[in-house]
Amino acid sequence: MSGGSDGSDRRPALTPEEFAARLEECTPVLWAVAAGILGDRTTAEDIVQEAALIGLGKLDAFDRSTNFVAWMSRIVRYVSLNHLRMRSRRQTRPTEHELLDLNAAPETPRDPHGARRMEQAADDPLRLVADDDLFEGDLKQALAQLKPMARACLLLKTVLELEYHEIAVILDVPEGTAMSHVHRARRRLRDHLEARDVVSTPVEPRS
Amino acid sequence: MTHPHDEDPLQGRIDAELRRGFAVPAGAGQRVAASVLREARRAPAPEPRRLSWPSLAAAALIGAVGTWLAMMATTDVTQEGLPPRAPLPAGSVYAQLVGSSEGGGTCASETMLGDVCGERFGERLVLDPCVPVVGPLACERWPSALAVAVQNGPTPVMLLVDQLDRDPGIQADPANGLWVERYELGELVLYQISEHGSGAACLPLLDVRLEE
Repeated sequence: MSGGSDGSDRRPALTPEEFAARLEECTPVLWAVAAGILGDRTTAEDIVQEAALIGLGKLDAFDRSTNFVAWMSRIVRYVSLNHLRMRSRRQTRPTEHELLDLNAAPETPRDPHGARRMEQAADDPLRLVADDDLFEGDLKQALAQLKPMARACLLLKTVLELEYHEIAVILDVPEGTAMSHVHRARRRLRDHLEARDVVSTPVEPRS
Repeated sequence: MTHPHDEDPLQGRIDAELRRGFAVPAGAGQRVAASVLREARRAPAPEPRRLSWPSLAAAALIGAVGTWLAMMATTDVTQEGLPPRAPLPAGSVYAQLVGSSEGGGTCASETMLGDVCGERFGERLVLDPCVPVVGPLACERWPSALAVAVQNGPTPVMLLVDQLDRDPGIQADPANGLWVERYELGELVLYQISEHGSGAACLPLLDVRLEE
């Protein structure tokens, strides 16, 4: 065992200033991890903030000889997963608003990126269904079907252009697993979008 | 470097949309760092952790047991030259895990072990939430395994989890005073290793199961 009983030979814990400086440097990675686990960007920064405060409270548990990003990423993942769990619990029952919506206007398309946009597009024969918004909506749907770790791997690879060995360290998975997550995620996104045929389907003018 | 997907219009469009939709907001790092510094100024600086006499005694005991077990393990088995799939001697695994327990960190929530397991193996484990978990640890003899230390009352118990098809087997040796329990949970294999006397009195050591 290393270290005396008073831990005197262990290097001192990070100071809050050092912690903040390191955190600032690696926030893009942590943000991408949070956004990947959650599948959306809206709460990613809040998650990183929450994880940062947890990290701040556990500075004496961080060993300087270990990888700071990996340590913080672990906390970000747990906070994100907890958030995801709470969110899915809240979504198990439709809200009053949703119930009202369903009862009041059953003919109204519920998918904001779907039928309504198709109708709008149909008014303009020159406009393609596969406009940017529709593509974005379908991509979001496809992303939502991926597992959180696969999404995180995909974003770290695609958005931050990290190497697989870096992703492996950050997400605490073997390098081969990171690689297969990215490969399969890309495949699934492509399959989903091709199945929805949103890439090049022109809208037929109304007769 | 040109990515093979760059030549594929659909893949190129997906990647571009991901980069656009998930661009890290400008200034996020500064905002996070600033909030940390604000919090640090607001809250008093954390006192260095003071160890109580009982915890010092426990640490010394674990150290002594670890050293003793390591010595036992090296006298029992020549570690080098083992065939890759030879069963691992419980003594050396236990000693090595005890030795790596420093800096492992403590699970921040009762579901953390399950989460990590779910991420790594696709199966979530459920452990009694009252059991404090320290981990993850690094098991050099079995690197693909998820290894954690848990405290079962006064008894430290080492848990090792891996896919069933990667199970090298852990061989108990009555001479080294360790109790080894092996469980198969779905596609996973789980070992619990603990010191013999106290563990044997309360078998099964810990109730670990797969989340339904």
